[in-house]
Amino acid sequence: MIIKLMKMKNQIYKSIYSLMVGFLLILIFGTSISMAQSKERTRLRSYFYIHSNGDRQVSFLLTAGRGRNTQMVENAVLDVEIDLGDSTLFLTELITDEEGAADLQIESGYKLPADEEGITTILASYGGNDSLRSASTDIEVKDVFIEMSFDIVDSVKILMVQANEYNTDGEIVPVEELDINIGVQRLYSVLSIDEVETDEDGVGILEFPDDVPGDSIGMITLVATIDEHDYFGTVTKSQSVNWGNPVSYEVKPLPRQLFSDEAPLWMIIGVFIAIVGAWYHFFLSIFKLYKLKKAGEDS
Amino acid sequence: MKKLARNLETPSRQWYMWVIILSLIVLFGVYALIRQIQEGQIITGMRDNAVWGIYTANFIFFMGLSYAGALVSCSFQLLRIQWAKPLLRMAELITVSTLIVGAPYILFCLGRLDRIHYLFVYGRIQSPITWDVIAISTDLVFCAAFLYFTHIRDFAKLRDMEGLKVAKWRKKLYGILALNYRGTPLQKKYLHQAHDIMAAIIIPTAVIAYSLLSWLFGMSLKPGWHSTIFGPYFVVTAAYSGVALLIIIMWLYRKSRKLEGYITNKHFNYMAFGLVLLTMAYGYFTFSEYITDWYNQTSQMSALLGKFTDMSQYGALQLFHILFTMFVPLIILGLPWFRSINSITLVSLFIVIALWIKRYLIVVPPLETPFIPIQDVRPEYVQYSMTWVEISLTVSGLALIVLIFTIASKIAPIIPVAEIEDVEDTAKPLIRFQTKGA
Amino acid sequence: MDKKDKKNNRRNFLKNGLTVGGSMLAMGMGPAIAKDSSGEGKSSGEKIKVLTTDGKVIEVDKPKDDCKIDPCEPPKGNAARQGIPGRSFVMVIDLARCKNARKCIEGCQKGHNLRPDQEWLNVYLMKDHEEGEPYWFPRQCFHCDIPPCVKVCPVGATYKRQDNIVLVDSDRCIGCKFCMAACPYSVRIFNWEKPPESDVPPEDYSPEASVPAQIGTVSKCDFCPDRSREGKLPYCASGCPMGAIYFGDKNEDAVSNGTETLRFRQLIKDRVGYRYLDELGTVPNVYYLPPVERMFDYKSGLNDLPEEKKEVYKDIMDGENNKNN
Repeated sequence: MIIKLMKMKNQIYKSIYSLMVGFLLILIFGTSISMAQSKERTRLRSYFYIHSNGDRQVSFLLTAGRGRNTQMVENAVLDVEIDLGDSTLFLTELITDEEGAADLQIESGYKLPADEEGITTILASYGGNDSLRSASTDIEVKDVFIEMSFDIVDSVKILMVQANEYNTDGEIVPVEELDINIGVQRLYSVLSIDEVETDEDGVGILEFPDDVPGDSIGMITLVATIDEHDYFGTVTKSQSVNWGNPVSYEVKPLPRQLFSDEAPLWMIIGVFIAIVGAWYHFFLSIFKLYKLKKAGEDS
Repeated sequence: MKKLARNLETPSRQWYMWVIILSLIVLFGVYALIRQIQEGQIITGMRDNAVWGIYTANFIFFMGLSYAGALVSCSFQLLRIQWAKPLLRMAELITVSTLIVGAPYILFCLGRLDRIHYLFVYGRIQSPITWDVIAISTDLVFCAAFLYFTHIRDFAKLRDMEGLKVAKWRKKLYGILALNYRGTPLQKKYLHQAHDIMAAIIIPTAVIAYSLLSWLFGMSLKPGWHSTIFGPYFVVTAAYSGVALLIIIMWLYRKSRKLEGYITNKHFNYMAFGLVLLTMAYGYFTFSEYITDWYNQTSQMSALLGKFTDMSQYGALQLFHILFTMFVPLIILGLPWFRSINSITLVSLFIVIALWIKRYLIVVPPLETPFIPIQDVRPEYVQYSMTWVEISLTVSGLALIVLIFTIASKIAPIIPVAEIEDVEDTAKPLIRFQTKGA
Repeated sequence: MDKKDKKNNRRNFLKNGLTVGGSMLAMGMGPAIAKDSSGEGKSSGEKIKVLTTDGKVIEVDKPKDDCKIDPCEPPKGNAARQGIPGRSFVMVIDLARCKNARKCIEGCQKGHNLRPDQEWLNVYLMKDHEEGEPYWFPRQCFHCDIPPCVKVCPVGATYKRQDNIVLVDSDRCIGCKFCMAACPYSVRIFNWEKPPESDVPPEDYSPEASVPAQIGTVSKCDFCPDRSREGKLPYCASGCPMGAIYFGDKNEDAVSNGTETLRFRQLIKDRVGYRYLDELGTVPNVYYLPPVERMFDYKSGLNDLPEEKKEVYKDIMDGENNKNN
């Protein structure tokens, strides 16, 4: 009888025990689930740029929230790595600035480790914190090389743009059917002239117009741009050439005008004559009074 | 002379009270000015559209009054008009006092009074303000000099007068200021020449100075200001207001000093006649300006003229102005049964007030009617309204004029005695027109 | 990440109305809830990370922003009377795009330390005539070639430069306000009271930056030459969410609104650019593109306005309502 009771007691204890464990587990998971649900969604974006001097740049943008409530995340730590297939090559940690952006510059001399297709995959991840979820992104990039050459044929200015890339064996081969935007660098922005598409030799040809103003000696900076290519990212290449019309940079003072610092001569002369004429008469009459006074002293 | 000189003797308590009251009013104006300099012009009524308010209106008004002496007195002098002799000094005093009081008003408009000297150091000759600075300072010096010239003979008389109960220092001052004038023919000649030269040069100076003032407005594109008639218009208006003020001053002195012997019916009659002529001239200019603008119906001018006919805006002021500068004077002064010394003076008073209103109507409504419509939520930026600062400075300006007159009345008699008593040597004509072979 | 995201590069991302949220954070006006403090103190903002040729990551100093026009430091005093050589600044405003967002005004006020009621740049609701439809009209200073304001300044505090810009030197202005009365476009404002406090000390004042302002002086739109020296567009042009304000150099024949760059002469020819009140003879340098094929109904510009501001447009709105009846 007592053994039966003890067995029952054990069972009761067991069930109570399992109930308590189960309850605790639910509590823990529940809170973690709810906590996970209360964490803000984040989004990590990546962009690739190739600059004119061959340097590359990978930029990341970390935002939180969606739609109208999107805000940039400041001071977040991003881990940047290169995907090597089986492993990853850890590059660095980046900290986002007040606009949620972080950049990594890659010198032109550094050869990006590529896979069999010649594509480099760069990974970035954000660990999240108490209020923000973690996020990650990856971007597939490739190098491209752009050269510009200039020629004048029958007094027509011809621009030739050559685009090359690495093939899978690491040799340099031309890129065909690539849209390249040709523009002129202006004070605030680049003025687009035209777009060329490279042929099977990777060459695009443009007849450059004659009426583009340049600096004081007619130099202009041509800017070749590839916009948001799937692998090349945004590529710019600039080079100066003497194809602009010169603009006078002479600093000369404004001629005599009503609205300049120097008045027209006739105005100055006229006013001078008027003032002198009037005050001459004034001093003349003062002089008469002086003579009057002298005459009074004598008598 | 003795009777007139009695006024110069030791001032009575009444005089001192009067001076103190006036000085207090003037000092309150100074206080208002100090507040304005310290806190900025935000305490005035001027704002971004109506950038000039009654300071500029007062400026034009007082400058216009100065024509009493400049034009009227100097022309009387040159034309050797005998009956006007008692009025000369009064007129010149008006000129000098209104110039002294009026000129600072344009300076009150300046936001940075600590940089006034820039007007001379960095002055640009192309700017109408520079022209004004030159012209008004010239005008002031010339008129002050002329005022002094007219006093010399009286100072001599006062210096020589026996039994004049004045302080010793004042007697000595008279002596110095009389410049050893003894009445010799040579001295008379010199004094006469100085007189004539100054009178001759003041007339064009005053005309030019006031025209330059009108070109502060004329040389701008604003509708209501951009009018070619402004030069002559302002000159005529100034002469008009000057003569009207002169009549008022005549009346005041006649009543208070019992000068019926010197300022007679004849003077009032002649001045009234001049006033009628000026009324017609002023009416002609005003009418011609408004009718030309009205007929052309340009959108900007129509908007502005609409404000002048709308009773809730400026219509009432404009009506008062037109009534009392164009119609009432003609009736009262033109019809002999309305004409009396008192009625002439009353009409002149209303003329002066109406001409102040006219200056206000020239300055403020065009500023409130710019090319681009004012779309501002702040009412003080849409419509100008004067504040205590501007009102107190206006009142203290008037008080200062009266104060100058009060003090001047203790320096020399208001009637230029020497001019009246010595008749023969003032009849020489200035310009002798002679045909050949006459 | 899918390829679609790569198309949404940062520029488009910001243009789709998220500039408000982002810029709020950057300007510190909104709550900075999205802040991860784990990286705090580690980045100084002055350094950038570089992956070198030999595979190492180093931190180097951020290269200073290139000065597009030397000197980058705006000149002070009389040196500011010399314009930027070879430039002739001009502005084009596309009236078909303006919807009274007033971001241009806010940007200008922030950049020049103005109070919210001080408007160098104002947006008016204009209606040309009975048959016309009202349109929103941003009005900066036109920097006229024959400036009536410069003619009448008695001390030469305002002057015309060779690069087309008309500036005001607050150190010389005596506050006579003749220029304000002379300007037919109501462009200038006056500092009636003490201007707001500025970070810039008085000895660093340059007429090109126009800060700090001084009490009792006139100020106006200055076409932001200090920004142009850094190759940046004026605050209004870069602040407009619709890209309605183009700014550029006539000599270079290019104007830009931040996203598009167009040839100036061709733009004026194609879109029939005109100048406001041209017949006054002031030769303004701000061109307007007529509101043909508008992007928005003008009424959408009234939506977010406070009631008292809407009162100001009552005359035009009443006229419009009467027309429809």
